[in-house]
Amino acid sequence: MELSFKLEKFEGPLDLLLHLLDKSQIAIEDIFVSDITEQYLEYIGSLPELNMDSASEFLATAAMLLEIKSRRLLPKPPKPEEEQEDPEQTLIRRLREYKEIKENAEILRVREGQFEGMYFKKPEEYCFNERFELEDVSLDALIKALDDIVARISSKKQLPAVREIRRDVFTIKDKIKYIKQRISSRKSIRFDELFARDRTKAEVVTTFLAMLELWKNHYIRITQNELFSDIIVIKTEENSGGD
Amino acid sequence: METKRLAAAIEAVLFVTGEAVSQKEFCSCFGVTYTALEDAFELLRGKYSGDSGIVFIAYGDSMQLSSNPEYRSEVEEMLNPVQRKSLSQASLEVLSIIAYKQPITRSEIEEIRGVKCDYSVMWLLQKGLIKEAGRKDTVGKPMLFATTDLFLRHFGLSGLDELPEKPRELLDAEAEPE
Repeated sequence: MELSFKLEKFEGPLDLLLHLLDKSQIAIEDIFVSDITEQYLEYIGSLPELNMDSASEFLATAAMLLEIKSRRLLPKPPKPEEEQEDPEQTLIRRLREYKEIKENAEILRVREGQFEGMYFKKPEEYCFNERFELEDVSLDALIKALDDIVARISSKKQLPAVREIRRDVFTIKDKIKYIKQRISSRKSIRFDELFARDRTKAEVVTTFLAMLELWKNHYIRITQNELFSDIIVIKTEENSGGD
Repeated sequence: METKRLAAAIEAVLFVTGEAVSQKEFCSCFGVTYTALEDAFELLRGKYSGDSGIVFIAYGDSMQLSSNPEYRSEVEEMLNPVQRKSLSQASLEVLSIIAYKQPITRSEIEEIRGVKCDYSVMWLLQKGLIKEAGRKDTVGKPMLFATTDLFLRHFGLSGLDELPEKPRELLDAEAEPE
């Protein structure tokens, strides 16, 4: 029998089984009184290589088929040990269900072809004003929302007084001195190494401006590998004694 | 608004927008009831039935004007419009499962097909043929999937009740062992 198809042509092990059953003209219920299991294993074994993505499902099914076949060879246990469906019946049911799905899919495929030739227009450009409609908003809800806001504001007044935190004052002159100091020992330094973790925006801005001053005076070079990556500050060889 | 006028207004709007418009939008915008809308549809259906080059389609909650597929070859010959790609076999099977068994979870789909379906589900979501439809009330609260109005349009259905059923005789024949 012709078994020269590749695994990729089958949508899964169930698809392959249905194909084998169909070719041999065997009904789904008779799968285990036929040699379909052997055909399946022969097929899997004959493939030169297995696609790793789908291999696991095919192999799992192979294991299941072998288990079912071997159980048939053994005498039946005195009473059913599992509550669950007999694996043989499960597979038969799944094959039936999948077959039905494939047939439905075929019907839909035909329909898809019939309606493929429908074309739609792209919309005109509009410049209508956007209208906003608030859904599910009642007067009561609005009043309640206002009440909540007022309540929140009055409760805030009971908080302890905010303590004062002195604002740091940074000057560009200071920062220039600082940068020079930091790069005197090292040849280069990352911009973000120039301040502590909990820096304020003011400090960062001042440091940045100081860096630009130094660059203008050719005291340093500035590089950046790509957009938004680290900014590297490099001491120039001929350091002018700029301020 | 009088039915004839409403029908004509709908026709004009659908022509200008080209896109699908929901019945809900028409109702709220023109201040008419669904029943009034239905009457207007009847007029439009009558006008655009049969051999007309343009058809009026209604699917799910949406309505739209489109070219009549009957004249597909002439349109394509003259204009060569960009074609929609048809679905892959895997996506079609996953879509069929969702269509006939919705709402359904990913693992239930995989159970039926016997293979993983992540890629197909993502692709179908992206194309707008399926949508997330809540979560199943079991362990892990997995996402449920259902089909969209676009799915209906893709297959020329006006509602899920039009999903083709397998002919009764075939089902019975299979149930009986020979």
